Amino acid sequence: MRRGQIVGIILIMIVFVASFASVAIAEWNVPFTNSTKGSQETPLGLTLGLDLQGGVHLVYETVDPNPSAEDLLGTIEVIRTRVDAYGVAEPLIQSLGSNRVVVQLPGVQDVQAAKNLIGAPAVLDFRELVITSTQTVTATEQPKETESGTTEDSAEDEVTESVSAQWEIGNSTVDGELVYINGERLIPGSAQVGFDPTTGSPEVLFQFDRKGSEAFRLLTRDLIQYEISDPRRQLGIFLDAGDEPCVLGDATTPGCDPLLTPVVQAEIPTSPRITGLSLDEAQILSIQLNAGAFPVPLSKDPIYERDVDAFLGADALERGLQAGSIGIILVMLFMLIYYRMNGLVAVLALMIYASMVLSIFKLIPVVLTLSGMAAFVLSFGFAVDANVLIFERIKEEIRGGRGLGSAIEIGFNRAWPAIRDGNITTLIIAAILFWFGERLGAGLVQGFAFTLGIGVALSMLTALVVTRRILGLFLSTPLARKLGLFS
Amino acid sequence: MWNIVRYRVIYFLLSATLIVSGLVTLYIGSGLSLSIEFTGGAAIRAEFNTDVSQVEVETVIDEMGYENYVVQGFGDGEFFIRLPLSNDAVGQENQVRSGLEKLSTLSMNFDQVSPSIASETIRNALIAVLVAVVGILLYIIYAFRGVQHSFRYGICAVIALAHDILMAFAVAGVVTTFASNVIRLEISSMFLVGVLTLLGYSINDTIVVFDRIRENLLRETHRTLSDTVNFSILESMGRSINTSFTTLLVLLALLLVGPVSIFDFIFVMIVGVVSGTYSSIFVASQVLVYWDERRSQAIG
Repeated sequence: MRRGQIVGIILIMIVFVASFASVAIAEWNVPFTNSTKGSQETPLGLTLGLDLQGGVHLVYETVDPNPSAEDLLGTIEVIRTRVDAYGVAEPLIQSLGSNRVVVQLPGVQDVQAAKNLIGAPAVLDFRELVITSTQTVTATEQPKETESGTTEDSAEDEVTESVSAQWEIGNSTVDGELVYINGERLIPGSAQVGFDPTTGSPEVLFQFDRKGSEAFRLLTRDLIQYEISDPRRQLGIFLDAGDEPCVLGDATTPGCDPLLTPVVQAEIPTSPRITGLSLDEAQILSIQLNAGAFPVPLSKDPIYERDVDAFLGADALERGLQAGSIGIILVMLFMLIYYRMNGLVAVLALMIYASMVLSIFKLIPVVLTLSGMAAFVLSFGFAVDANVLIFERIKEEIRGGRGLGSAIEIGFNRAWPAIRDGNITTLIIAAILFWFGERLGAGLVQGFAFTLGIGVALSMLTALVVTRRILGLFLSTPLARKLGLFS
Repeated sequence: MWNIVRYRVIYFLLSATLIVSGLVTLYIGSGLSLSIEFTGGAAIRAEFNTDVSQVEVETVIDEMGYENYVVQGFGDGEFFIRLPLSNDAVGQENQVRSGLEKLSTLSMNFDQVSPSIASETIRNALIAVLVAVVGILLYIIYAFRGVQHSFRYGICAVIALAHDILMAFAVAGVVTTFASNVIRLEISSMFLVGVLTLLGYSINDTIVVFDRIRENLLRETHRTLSDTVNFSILESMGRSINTSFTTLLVLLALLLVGPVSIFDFIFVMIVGVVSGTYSSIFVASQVLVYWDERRSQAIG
């Protein structure tokens, strides 16, 4: 055996042992760093996608179709702060295209609460009731006939008085500047959940900044000028009502149903409390207030939602692993029976291939999803195909009367163009799928494409390097003289 | 030597009959619908702990005030339910869950897609397929630049692709029309992933056969293209059968044991592997010969 061959074989063995060990050991520390790879809880320590472990996948769109990149990033940060404060393990929050945000929350059971937490802008504002009466004067020109048949004098104009009562965002002039009392005046991080000392019911406490509290004090000072029975003495606390005034009693326009309408008892120099919430609502609101406002608001409803039940996810994982192993074992058996010695080489090469792919999945890590599993199985098919192509060529050359050494040499060279062209077209398709997957919004297609791409690239490598080296190794053994085993 | 090329009219007729009758069934039966990813709406996969009847599930959904819904039972308390979006989209999941929980405890997957993203998905899927086809065409023309009329190889490979995709839809049409009570098949994003993977598989298979033709043409083993193609097909037959057989083994394992959520994908791939192997030999290569002979007749 030549020296180059020995080095090649040793390298293959090192790669095999290293990749096999990295897959077999569920969780391990990366040398010289503090990071760990893999996890104790999942099969082979692989990172599982939502469809295999359960959780929520949400896609939101910004209301503004063309937000600036900075604002989108800012919005993602706000969502991240909210999600972190809520306590979800390993959330994934990222932009998708120029105006969408993907939020993945593994293991979350209460989807409703998650959606309330993420989507709402959570902008509080404090409003006063403004009553305006307008007098409309209508001149009646035609004489009207009364029942008695006499005509009434129509010179008098008809006067209708309409009264409109609207909630408008409270404002006061502080230091010569008009200050609106809304979410912008809240000190980020100041919100907290408290309990009313007498009733024990949950409430949200927060603080205005200096200008905000001054404006609030001035507003309450104005409001207590009204009689205690006057509706204008109420303070309206609204959530996500937007900038427009709300008509009194309008409960259909989003946000126009006030959270609270307390009657102001005295001038308030501090900040108000928000009461009348359930504990969950109070917690979500305080988290949202602390995270600050979205630079660009999101659509209230997600445009795409996928919730996977944890039980169904675990079931899918188990079925997928079973089916994959059965399929792979059947293929290996077929290779052994049909191609005998060559088949044994292929089985060894395929085992190295599988541990290399899984090892890469674990190191990057690639999130394993159902579609990713399908792609892995398929790329395994491509790896088998490359081996089949090579062996069929070697058989032909042996039948043509060549010795094993030159049959292997020529067989590889002849099989190469087909393997190359076939795999490159598949890589083209994987790249297009990856691009298409981003447009689609679901991680589903992208995971598939990425896995397929890695799998196909590696399958080409194993067929050409690993299969070839191992066959070369057999050449130097007495087996090489039994040509029948290879054809 | 076995002459495959001689009977090509039969292959063309066979393919045409299968595809046309399948597509007609698809059109008349209209059993194959677009999934919510393309229309918008909500899809639920529910597994009850006890055996609940389909009528019970439908009654619960009627009570919630839905119209135009689909309920499909698979036995053992497993159901697929498809609903239009409710006005309160955020609250829809809780509404459905609390309704169904009255029947029995259950595990439930819930998907919801707004119509705004759905129309975009269809457009992007079509673009993806078109870009893939053009990319493949260009690569094959490049890879076969050494032989005469290299663009014909590209066109023939794309014809085989179209054959396989149409076949997948045709078989899906037949299956959803005649076996809709056991099989739930939709044009979903998994279905499309299947179609795009089928593109990859089909083209790979065609390239292997074309590669033989290319090699034999360059070696000038035979006098006519027809003989060269016939010889090349026979030479690569062993590989074609073995590769599709091993791929089918894996796909069948996934179909029988694997998770239901990738059924659409597996279905398309199984049709695609059989059709892809067939079309490389009996469509792509035959069209190549047909084209060549038509041309020589026209000239000669």
